[in-house]
Amino acid sequence: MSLPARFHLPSMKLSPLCLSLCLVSAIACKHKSEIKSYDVAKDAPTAASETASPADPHAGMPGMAAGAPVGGDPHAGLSAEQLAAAGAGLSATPEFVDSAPAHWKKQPLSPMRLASYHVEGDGGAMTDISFSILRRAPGSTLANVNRWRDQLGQPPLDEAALKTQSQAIKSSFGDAIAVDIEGITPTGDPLKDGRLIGAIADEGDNAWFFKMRGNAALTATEKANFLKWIETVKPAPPGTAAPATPTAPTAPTAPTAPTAAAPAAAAVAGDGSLAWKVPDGWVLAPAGATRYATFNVAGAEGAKAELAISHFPGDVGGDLANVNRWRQQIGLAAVEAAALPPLVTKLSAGTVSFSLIDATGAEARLVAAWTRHGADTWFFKFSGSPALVAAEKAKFTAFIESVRFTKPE
Amino acid sequence: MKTILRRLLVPIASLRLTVVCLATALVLVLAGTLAQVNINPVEAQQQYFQSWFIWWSAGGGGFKMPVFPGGHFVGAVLLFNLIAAHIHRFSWSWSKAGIQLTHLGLIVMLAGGLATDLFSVSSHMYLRQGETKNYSDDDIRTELAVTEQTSGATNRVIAIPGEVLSACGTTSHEALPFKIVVKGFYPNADLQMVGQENGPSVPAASNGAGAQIGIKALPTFSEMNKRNKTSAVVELLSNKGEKSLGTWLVSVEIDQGQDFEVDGRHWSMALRFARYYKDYSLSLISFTHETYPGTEIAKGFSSIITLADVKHNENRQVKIYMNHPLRYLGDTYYQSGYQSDNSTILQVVRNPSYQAPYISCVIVSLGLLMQFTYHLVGFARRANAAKAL
Repeated sequence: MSLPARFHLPSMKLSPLCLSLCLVSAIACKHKSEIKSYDVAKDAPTAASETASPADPHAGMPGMAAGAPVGGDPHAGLSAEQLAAAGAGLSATPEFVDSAPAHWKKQPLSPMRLASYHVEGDGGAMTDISFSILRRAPGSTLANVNRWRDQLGQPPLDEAALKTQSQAIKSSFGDAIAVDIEGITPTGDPLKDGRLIGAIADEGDNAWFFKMRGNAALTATEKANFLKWIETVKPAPPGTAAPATPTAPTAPTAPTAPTAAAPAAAAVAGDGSLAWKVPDGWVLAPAGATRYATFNVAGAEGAKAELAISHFPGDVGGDLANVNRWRQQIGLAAVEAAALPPLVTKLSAGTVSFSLIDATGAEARLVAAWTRHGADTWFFKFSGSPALVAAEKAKFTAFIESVRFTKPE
Repeated sequence: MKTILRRLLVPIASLRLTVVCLATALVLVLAGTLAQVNINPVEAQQQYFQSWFIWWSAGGGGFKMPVFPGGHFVGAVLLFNLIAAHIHRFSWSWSKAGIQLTHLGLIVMLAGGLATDLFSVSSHMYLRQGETKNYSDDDIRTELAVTEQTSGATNRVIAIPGEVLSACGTTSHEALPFKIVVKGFYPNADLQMVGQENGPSVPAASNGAGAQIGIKALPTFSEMNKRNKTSAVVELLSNKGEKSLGTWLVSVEIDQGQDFEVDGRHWSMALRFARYYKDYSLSLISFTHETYPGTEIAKGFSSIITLADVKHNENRQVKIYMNHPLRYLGDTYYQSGYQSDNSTILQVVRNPSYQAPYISCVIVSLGLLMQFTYHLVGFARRANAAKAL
């Protein structure tokens, strides 16, 4: 039996046409710009996000290297075998032992971290400590130090400068160099950033990284503990399990004392550039992206006020522009240059003279003080509900009078 | 009815139309390629190939007129032409089955190309060693992510596409206790601290980082290795009485979210490249970049990653390198590049019709084989018959 040489299936003729019509009509629906709403898990810190600076994910274009690899960057390739050998595989089972101070809070390990701790200070201050191993490459130490400096917004060093700005220390992995870097990027959180103390030990093809980064004052306080801890980190003896509970407790030391010129009861925040006496009832809050420090003040019946402390290079547009911006924020009209001088009063804090302005809008009152220190202008903007700001103004004035710059201009 | 249909099909199925379409496509490809001298390849692709018409704007004003058919138009006409020819000349005989099959393969290829253009999404995942991510970033499209900081394990994100912001209108959403009014949208901009030497004197916004930063519009970059600093100034209006809560400057240059409070609820706002979240995560274990000995010429680079998917009980290591992508749940991860800190760049392509070219090639090959075999058998029969005579 054979098939007919010619046959028709009329219904099959229209199906490709229908398919094409559907496809073409779908063009109209392409790239719909819809607002999406979804839940995401809160960002869990990963090793990289803790140890590396916020990378510019779009610094390089896809399909090409954004730049020549930095020799010896700690993110240089480490094979899976090496990670496994280092105990940094998926299970993250450490094969190292260490002896950390009791007040260091152990953190979960990750593929990159062989040891991880947090130390918490007053007012939400925090510093982060880690130990990791990576493949070493020629010139790696300088590249890594400069990467750390970049994370704190500091310019890179050359080999000669590195020698003068580092110190030699001992570790179980051979001689190491330690660096102490201070600084913060404009978007850094002074409660969690501002100083980095790192040490790098080279052994064969590997480089061992010890890093402490966080709030400047707290990191400085923990420096001695950190350097001692480095000496205790060593490979676990064969057959040894995970490190034991931290031993050799070390009492936390007091926060860095302000300079002698500062008031006795002063406290420090941010990177330690300022010291001040905090009035009763004022609560230090997270600083935010562009602030040096923030204090919240709560009044009766839900009234709120806030002191925002910030500093920026230059005069930030000048007094007139700043005052008018603040006035507009509380619903007041801008003033002419000629009308400004009578509005500004002077206030002394030690040897520093502050300019002060007080303006009241329909729903908010603002008292702001500012002064020039070095290349920066420092702003102290106290604003909130009119009644509360009025009640707290004396405290604000006392606060400004207590402010001391701990670093020379 | 059949006659009407046939009359309609005849001009559409014309071979002349096929030739015109192919010639137009040639001109279009040439014009689209030359246009990349002045505009970046993505814009050229959108203007010349992903459009119905190429538009000409008189003097940069609002008036626009179509001057040439775009890629969608040419592709669609060619697809209809091919299908119409298929229907018009359709007669399922063994002598023409191979030809029909070959045409069907071409239709699948054209339809697949159209579906790819319509439904595929390309993005990139940037991973540092040890980092874990469950999302990739678009390279061009931006979104304003407004996140409510809750005390629970998750945060609620409302993502407003850059296309919506660029219309400079007012946006509201049921989950937001405020409206977002776009006061200015800048596809590319220069951000400088107020008061800097030769810098701006007026801040861009009243709140957040923008209270200290001035903004200046810039023309968009045509070079692919430069990134536009897309920015916007937005004002928030409380839903209660439409009271202004202030203005904020958002920009892809300001990578941290800017916090604010509305009615006792804590929010954060950031303009970022649009994110595509996955139901699984990738962690970079290591990235290796090899060069030819004694040179800086790349020999190859590869990433060893951990794929973790609780839902599908997956937790395995995968090596991604040239011509060896990872395919998982409709996403394909290609080793695309690396950054100076040796973090890896993976191109993430989600293309539901990625198999169309393979299927098309198989169908076309089968069609040609059938046609050739049919003629070969006929020829052999005739030759044998001639011998028998």
